[in-house]
Amino acid sequence: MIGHAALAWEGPVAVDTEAVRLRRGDPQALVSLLERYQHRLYRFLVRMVHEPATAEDLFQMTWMRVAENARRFDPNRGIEPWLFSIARNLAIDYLRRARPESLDEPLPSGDSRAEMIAGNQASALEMLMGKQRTNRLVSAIGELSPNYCEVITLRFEEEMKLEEIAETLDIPLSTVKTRLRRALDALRGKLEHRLPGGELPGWGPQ
Amino acid sequence: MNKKLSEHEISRERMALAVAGALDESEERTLTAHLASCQDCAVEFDHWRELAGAMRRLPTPQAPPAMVERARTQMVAHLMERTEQRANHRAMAWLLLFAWTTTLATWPILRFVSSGVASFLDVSFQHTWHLLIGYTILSWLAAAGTAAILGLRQRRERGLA
Repeated sequence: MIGHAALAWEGPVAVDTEAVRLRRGDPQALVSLLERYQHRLYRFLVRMVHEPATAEDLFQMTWMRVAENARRFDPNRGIEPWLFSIARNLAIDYLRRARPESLDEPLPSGDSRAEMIAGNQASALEMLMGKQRTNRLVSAIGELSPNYCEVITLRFEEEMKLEEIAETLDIPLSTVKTRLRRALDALRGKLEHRLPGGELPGWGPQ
Repeated sequence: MNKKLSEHEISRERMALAVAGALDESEERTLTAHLASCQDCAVEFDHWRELAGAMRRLPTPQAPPAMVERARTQMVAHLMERTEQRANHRAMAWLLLFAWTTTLATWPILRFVSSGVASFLDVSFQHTWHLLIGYTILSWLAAAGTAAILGLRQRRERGLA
């Protein structure tokens, strides 16, 4: 009970201190942020742009932007949504310049959904094991439009709450839900099309 | 039969959101109840759960240490530069304040001394204001000259470093 109370008390104080240090432009606060989020931010950028070299450039730019904006950080905002929104905006800017066609949000395909509902027998994916399955999944996520890719990776890989996703992407909560559903439908559609023969749907048990 | 079918359809629609943890309590309850009574949907939901689990377990691409180090160096350098800029602005503000204070504070002394010197040299100023303006311009020119010399020296030192 006491431990719980202490934790509950320490939580906000720790966050406040970090926010205050950020706003002061304390290099140590930013360096510790970099150490804490390096892998997650890099993963997010890799998923968004699919090219490690580009993700590396965007990673550098993200942290420069973080350093520039640290003094204007709003302590009422979460650090995570703030960081990811900076990375996300840079990634979207890059995609807009380099691959403008990738930003058109595809309409959810009624057909693929119908096909998916129709069959739920044993999945051919059951045969695909380990790494192969992972690669398949990663490249299927990579084929999604950036709008879908970002909600999927923020929800399942970054394990952000829906509210945090809404804050990161600066969209209403209802839009987050709609996008998540469409993104997952699109992802399953892609996985099903990748099956050898293509006739069996589903992401079956391993 | 129709009611049964629509319940079935609604459950299918909600499965993706359910594995994303995006259903509210009542939607979740309806889905759970349907899954308990419909074998097909239970199997389909297992597929969704499996997919969600696979996404959560995806390996994290590791950030290359050289890239992280570069980001750290750039970020710290940028912050140092900004801190120095702010310190320079602050120093400039203090210098301005100091210069004005000195000018105004030493004015009575100058008046006292100069009236003696002026009467000795037999120089008469038309108006006290002329002397004040002349003195202010002279002291500011001296301050600007000193600041320029200090700035140049600092730049040369930084160039050598």
